[in-house]
Amino acid sequence: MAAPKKGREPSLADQIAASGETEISQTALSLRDDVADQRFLGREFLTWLVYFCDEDGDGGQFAGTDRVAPFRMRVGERAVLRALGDATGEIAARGPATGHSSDVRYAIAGGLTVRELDLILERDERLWMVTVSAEHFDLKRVKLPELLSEEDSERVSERLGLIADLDGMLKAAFAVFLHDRLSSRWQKQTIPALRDWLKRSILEQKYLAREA
Amino acid sequence: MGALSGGITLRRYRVNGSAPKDFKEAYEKSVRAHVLVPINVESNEDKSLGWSSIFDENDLDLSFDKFFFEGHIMLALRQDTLKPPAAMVKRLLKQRQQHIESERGQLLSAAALRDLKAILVAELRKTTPPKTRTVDVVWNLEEQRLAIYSHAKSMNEALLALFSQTFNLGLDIEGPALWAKEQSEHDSKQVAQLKSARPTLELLHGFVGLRPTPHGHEEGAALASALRGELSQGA
Repeated sequence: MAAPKKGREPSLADQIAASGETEISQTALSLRDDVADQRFLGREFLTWLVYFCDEDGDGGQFAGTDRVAPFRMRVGERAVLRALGDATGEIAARGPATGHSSDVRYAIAGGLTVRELDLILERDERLWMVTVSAEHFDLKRVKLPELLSEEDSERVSERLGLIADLDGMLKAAFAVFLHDRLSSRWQKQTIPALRDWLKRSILEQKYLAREA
Repeated sequence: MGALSGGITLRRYRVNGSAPKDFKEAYEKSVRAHVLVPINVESNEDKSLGWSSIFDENDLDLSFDKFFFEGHIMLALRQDTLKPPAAMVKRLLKQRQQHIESERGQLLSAAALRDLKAILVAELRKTTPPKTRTVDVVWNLEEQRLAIYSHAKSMNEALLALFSQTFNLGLDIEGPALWAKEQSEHDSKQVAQLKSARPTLELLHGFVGLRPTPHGHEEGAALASALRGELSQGA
């Protein structure tokens, strides 16, 4: 350890260096938490959804299960992406076609993942809109389809049912992601396909910039 | 904004355990014991927390049929705060102080000022209406899931404490880990895969070759190494 300047107390960094302990970066600390709580599943799911809901992906179409009828999902008007740890970068993208936004794809290509995402879910010609957070799958700005019941008690029941339907669809989408994520298909097919999808967008953007 | 009308913001919890067979009587008794008690203006307390009806925040007389609906327990978590506005206290204190000092012809001591403030606050408590904040809570008994219609940290912490005191059951916050665990628990292969799953490097460090990444090259290599180390531990 370099001797502190005369009259100066050793800083915390000096003391850590003198102790022989290895300084841990914020990124490494965040990674540790990310793994311990399996939080990475949330941000990877929302990031995967941006790709899956694109026409070049599966167009956001989810097949039904015994509990959930088939539905379609689209990315809404807002996405927030962030890098892990202290790396620079938080992007909030807004616009009518956020899922197609080259800024969003460029951010994903750079290791930023989606932390909040606006989604539009469509089933039987009815629409749900929601903002989902990656950390706890908190929901906000939820808009339900218009209620069909007239009696107050029936409306309460219908509203609870529609919220449960929304949850059911989100869980069904997560199940599709998880099945892929935990299999060898994830590294062998999905990540390369995601890479190609990002590459096409970035190359297209470069071409457009050159032409401009 | 809440479960019954308006915009929806919600967080979900998993309830640890199920309701007892005779929950009707037990829960009515317990909910009534933990209903909000209005703040006594003569006392020093400035906050009160408890349950109220989800249909009417002023209804504190909670019989079972007022909070049980189609397999759901539905309550409002109500918090009352009684605190005279600080700016008003400061302004009135200054007025009183000037009045007393001009009458007596001498300055008030620090201790006398503190006493004067306490008297003033006690007077204002009688005329200041409490601020009421309610958050809807809906518990699906069959699915053992609960939704609170707020992300506010203070209200979520209040819920954890009050729910436990009322129903003698704990709550675990939902999220990707819990969903993944539930969805894979019937498939032993998936359980093992989930246990060993680690963050995808490309979704941490970026896709090498496509563009510059926020983590430098060294940090990216360190991340990859850390992940490989975690993989070998988890396998």
